[in-house]
Amino acid sequence: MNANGCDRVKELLAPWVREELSAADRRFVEEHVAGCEECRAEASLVRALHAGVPIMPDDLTARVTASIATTPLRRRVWMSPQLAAAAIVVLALGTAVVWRQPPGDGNGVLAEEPLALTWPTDDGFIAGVAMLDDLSDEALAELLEELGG
Amino acid sequence: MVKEEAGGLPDSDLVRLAKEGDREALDELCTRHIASVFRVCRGFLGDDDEAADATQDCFVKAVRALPRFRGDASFRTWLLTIASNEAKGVFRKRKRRAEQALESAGPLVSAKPEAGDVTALKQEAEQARVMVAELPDKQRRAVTLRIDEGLSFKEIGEVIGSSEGAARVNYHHGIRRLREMMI
Repeated sequence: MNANGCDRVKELLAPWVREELSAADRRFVEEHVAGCEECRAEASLVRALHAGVPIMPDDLTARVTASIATTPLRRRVWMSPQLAAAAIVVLALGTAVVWRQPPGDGNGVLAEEPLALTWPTDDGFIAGVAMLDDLSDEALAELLEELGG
Repeated sequence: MVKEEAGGLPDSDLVRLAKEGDREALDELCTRHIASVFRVCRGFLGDDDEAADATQDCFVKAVRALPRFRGDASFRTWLLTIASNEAKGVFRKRKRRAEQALESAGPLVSAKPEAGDVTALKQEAEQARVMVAELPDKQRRAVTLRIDEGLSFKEIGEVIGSSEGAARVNYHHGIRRLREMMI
């Protein structure tokens, strides 16, 4: 802040024209502006800008409220339990494919083995069946449908 | 803010109700803030019709994004950020259209068709508003958010995506440039 308070006054000009200052700050600004040509010029500009604040068209509120009335209010979507279970199954299968070592070969390399040997079971769905014990028949059917079964 | 309390429930309560599907709360939020949104768009675009369209699009986007509003900033600041971005997008599209028109029309067409209008303006206020449209993006937004909406520099920084200090600098540079343009 400079010695004569110009910086402080310039900070306060916007709230001054908006009549948001306390009585003390308002007096400070007005006394300063009266004696400072630089700040008086800036105050004149800020006052002009404020006087030219755009006026909203009368019909805009009705137009916008009508528009948002037809906009669906979306709730935050959480993953369904069935979909979560399916994700776990897919993750488990994927992990097994990558990490499972073939029987009889302690340090077998995945790339060297046929895919059939590294798959944990012949049926991908059965591989995850233990994790789905708690699902009802209906939920399980839905899950299978989501999985494209 | 005082304005939030003036119409009844604070914005935060209205937002919670709106998130639960209360359409009246949503309408109240709209009614409460639509003038500010319009002014931000109008200040950026300098055209009533474009600003009205941008205001409508802003509210539709805000309604769609409402479930993701976490309340880190005030609802008003969040909404004005959407408005500011919306206006910026419209401004860019307009600029592209103008550039394409200029290219197709040849070099003799003026890039500033509004120049004649500026000279016709009598009121200092109107002239100042026209000059605002000539400011660089962040200066223009800082000036209008400060003078039209009374936002603090911290809030302006949140809206335009800068620090509080940078918002302050943008405002003062904008004012200084306007003074030079008005001479």
